[in-house]
Amino acid sequence: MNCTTAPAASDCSKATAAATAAQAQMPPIVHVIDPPDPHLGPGQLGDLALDAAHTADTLIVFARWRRRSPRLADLVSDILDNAGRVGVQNGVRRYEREDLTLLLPYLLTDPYNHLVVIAAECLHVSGLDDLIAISSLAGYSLTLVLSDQPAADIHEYLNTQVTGRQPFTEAARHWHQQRRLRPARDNRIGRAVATTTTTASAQRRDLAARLQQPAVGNDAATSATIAALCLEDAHTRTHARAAKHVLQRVGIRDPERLAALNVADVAEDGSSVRGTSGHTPVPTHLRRALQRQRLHALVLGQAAGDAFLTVDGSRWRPNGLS
Amino acid sequence: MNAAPRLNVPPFTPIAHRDDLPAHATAFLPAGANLVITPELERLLNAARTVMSNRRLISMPGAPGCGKSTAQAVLAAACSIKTTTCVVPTVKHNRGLAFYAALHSALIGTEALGTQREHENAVHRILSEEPRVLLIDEAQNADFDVLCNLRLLLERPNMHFTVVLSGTGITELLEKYPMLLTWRQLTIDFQRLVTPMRLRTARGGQAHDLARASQLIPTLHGLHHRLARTDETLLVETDRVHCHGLIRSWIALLENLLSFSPDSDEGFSRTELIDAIVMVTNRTPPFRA
Repeated sequence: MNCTTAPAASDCSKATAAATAAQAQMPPIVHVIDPPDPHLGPGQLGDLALDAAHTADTLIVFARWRRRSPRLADLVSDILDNAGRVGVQNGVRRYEREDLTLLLPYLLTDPYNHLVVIAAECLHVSGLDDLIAISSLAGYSLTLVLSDQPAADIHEYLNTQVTGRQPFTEAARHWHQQRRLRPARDNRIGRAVATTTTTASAQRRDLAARLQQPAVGNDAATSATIAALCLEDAHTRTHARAAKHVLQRVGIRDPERLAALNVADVAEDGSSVRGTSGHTPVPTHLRRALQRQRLHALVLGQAAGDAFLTVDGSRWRPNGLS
Repeated sequence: MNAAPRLNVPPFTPIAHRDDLPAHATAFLPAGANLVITPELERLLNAARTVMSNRRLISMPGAPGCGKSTAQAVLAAACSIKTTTCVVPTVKHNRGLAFYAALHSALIGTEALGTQREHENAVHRILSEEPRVLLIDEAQNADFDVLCNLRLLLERPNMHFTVVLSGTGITELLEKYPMLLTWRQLTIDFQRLVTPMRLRTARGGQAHDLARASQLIPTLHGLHHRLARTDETLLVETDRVHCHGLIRSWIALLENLLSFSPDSDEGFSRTELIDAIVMVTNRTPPFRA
């Protein structure tokens, strides 16, 4: 299961590095894998997906087809599902917004570096453009696997964007070797969803049922916390509430002080909070919640002087987060 | 070059008589009428297993009433693995949602409610659980997006299903898109029954193709023993003026014919055939025979 409570130090540095890279406008790393031989029949992409889904730092997702426009809301949901975030309570999942930038806080703070999108030609040029931009901002390397020869405009677009192109058989061999050489992915929910052995909704029901049971003992309490965090979605009230709890843990308890806290007061990696008496350090294991809220502010386009604890960029109201 | 089969399809159960099919699949046949194994059906049963093992697409285009749905029922009865028949609904809007709701409902055997994404995800899970043949009827009502997503679904890990599409004009739909075209491995075209006269007057190349297609007289003889005893000239004339080579029309006419003298074993007379046509159309047919 994906642990959202104890971030590795490398995740924070990844976010900082990604922000720096984006500022320096480094070219995105995009690989394209050519479609498999149609004469060998269906299933070859599934074999590649199985290998890729077991690799520790890789997120894998199948794009869904729609002729008139890309299904970006489904792509957002599928990426969150495959990262083990199966909750649909609020925000992006509930309203099905076709906005890939909403994924940024999670891509930046989750322990993945590589995104594989299968049947990428389904995303059309506009969707691919967004996807490449998001991957670049999040510091991910992106692999676009084609399931069929793309349309002329997509072909032309990819030629201008990709840093590498590989035949399918070579890529399949590469991922098969990676599966043996690289550490296995420990996110059981995400792996099961990615390999179609379960669905996100089944996992959601399972997690919700687990939360209903009384937590007795440390292990059960930890399990319940992790289940709750898996159900937590991007940009929800719980999201801001988690940041508020961290601030309270580091000693900022005064509601007025919390309300007055600005975006610029919190370090981008969540490592410290600026106050009147200097910087308050935040322990490593609590930084992720702050970092997400900080990145969320960037996604919403908030200015440095805007309120930090907010769900949608508006001024924070205590009732909204209680 | 062919890859190793990805779906284990055991040998088919032999089907020769209407009793070999489940009751719901033969409910349209009048009492005493039998299932006719036409050349198309025979070809389908001979070739389907290999195609299904490779999870390739079987397409069955043809005019309405030529026996496509019956062929699907025969295939479902012959298949030893689980089969699900889904009739694509005719809707103007939200065709994707309508299709996946119908497919999800067919898979679970009860009406399913939800969004298209929820239906899609549920269908993904069910199709990964055990080997299954999806028989999709009236596929001309499904739009391209749906068929493409079904094709892409086969590429997901742990998928154990194969698809049989039937519908009027689906060949044009498939041939428009390379992704669907390369998926297809077997096409059985269900045509109207061919009369002996049409065979005799056909040109060289056409005659060979027509001879392979199903024949009017043998099919009608197989359909009911009283039709087998009827004068062939009368049958050909009835087909010319009313049935136009459609099995469905013959079955409807047969129901009327059998109601005239249910206990008789004789062939049908000219008067009976004309009366039966009048019952259906309310017009006297220009019968020449």
